[in-house]
Amino acid sequence: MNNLIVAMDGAWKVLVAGLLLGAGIPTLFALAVNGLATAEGGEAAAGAAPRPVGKLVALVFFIIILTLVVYGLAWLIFTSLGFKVGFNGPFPTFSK
Amino acid sequence: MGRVTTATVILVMVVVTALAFDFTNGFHDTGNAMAASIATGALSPKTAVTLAATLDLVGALISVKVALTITNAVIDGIQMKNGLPNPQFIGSDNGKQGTLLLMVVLAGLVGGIVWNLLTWLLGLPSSSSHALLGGLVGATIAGFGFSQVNWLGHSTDKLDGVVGKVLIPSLISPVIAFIVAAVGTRIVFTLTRKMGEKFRESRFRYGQVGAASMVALAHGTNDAQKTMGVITLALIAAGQIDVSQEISIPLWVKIGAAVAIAMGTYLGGWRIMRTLGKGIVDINAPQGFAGDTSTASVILASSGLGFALSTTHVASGSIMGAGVGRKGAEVRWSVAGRMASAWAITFPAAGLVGAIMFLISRLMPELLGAVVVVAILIGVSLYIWFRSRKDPVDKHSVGKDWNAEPDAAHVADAIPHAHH
Repeated sequence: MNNLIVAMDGAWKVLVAGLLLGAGIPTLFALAVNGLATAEGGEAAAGAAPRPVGKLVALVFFIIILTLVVYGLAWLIFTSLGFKVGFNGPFPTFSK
Repeated sequence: MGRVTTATVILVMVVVTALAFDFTNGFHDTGNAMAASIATGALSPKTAVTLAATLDLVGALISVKVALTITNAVIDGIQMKNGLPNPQFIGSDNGKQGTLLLMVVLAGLVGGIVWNLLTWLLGLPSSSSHALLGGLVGATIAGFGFSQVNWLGHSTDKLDGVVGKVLIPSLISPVIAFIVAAVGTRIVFTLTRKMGEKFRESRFRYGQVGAASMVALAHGTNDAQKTMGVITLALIAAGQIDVSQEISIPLWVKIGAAVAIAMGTYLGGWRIMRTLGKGIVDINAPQGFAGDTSTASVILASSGLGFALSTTHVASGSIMGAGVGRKGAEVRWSVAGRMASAWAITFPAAGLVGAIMFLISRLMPELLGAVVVVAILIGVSLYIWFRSRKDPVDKHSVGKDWNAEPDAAHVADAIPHAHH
């Protein structure tokens, strides 16, 4: 029975975290690519005229994604190397 | 010392067999990271396996996760809490080194390998760790009876036992991944509905390669550790590691396991990749990206929360979810169903092989038993390889349309109970 309780408890946490990252990052990426399409115009954006501001939008979203990826990589690499990863505000901290 | 003992000879066979298992683990799982990228054309098959193998190698080498207590999750009393083998199982019938434990490990590994090869032949993704644990449990049952198996687990705050480590994760992982990928895919298609198809396809391919790389790296940090744990256990059992100090995994074991899994990954399990990338559902780049991001996120989230899930089950669930998330996509549920049946029988099937191997080895003196078991493994492997040559899938045919290949139906028919 313990397993079932532990499993349900863990499963919903993984589902929430999975949704935040696993659906959140595609959302950000789609918005970024949308920005690129707006900047490109024409065939990419349903025939609309190119609007250079799209590039800025894309840049903002790509920076957010890149930050998340760097966090993810840092977490994966440092926990693998045996560090404990924590946070001090927005900055990750690593300790043995 | 100076004299080659029976234990040493069996140990060498265990180490080589463990590395062979690690190799099958590699090609069994290449598709988890790369099937979607190959299917959508984001990467050429050759580039995909090179990338996956490199990241697997890096992941395996940097990871210091301790897998010394590998059997404890499902077997009672073979290892103690700190990873040392139980003295009861050290020593053979005539009181020499720990050949009894070595034989259990050898039979278990053979069970895992045979099941991995069979599912590869049928093009079915299945969990290599479940195959390994199944093989070890089967050999344990054959050797010491059912009471030695840790079915329900002892822990009150962690998943434990066959139910907690094998059954529950295999039910939960694909469901979570399915939901995450389906939601992600739906959002992506909603947000990009006005975008030109060609533009969307080309841009999402870049994202897909990034997500797939993350999956490959995460895989390396996890899977090779299990082989390292098994080899180290065998070394301890054979008296080759000084247990009076803190036990650590020897460097050569680490490098050997990392190289073996990377080589397997580079070989590419094309048959399995074909099922994952083409068989379940036809996907395009946004779906591949959402699916791979879901796989990477769910794996990282689950290992971060200490709730380890099987990469294979997560990756398969993600691809199905990405398929369903796009309106009008057709998921081949019959293929998905066969895959799910393979998951369900992986543990008992590998266990059965492990048990039979152990029983065979007991019919004769230990050294001969080990040689016979390894010989059977080589024979079965060759047979499966020759069978696979009848309808080969390689890097040239991996991306072909599923229905266009007459052999695909033949492969499907070879799976028992696949008929409706």
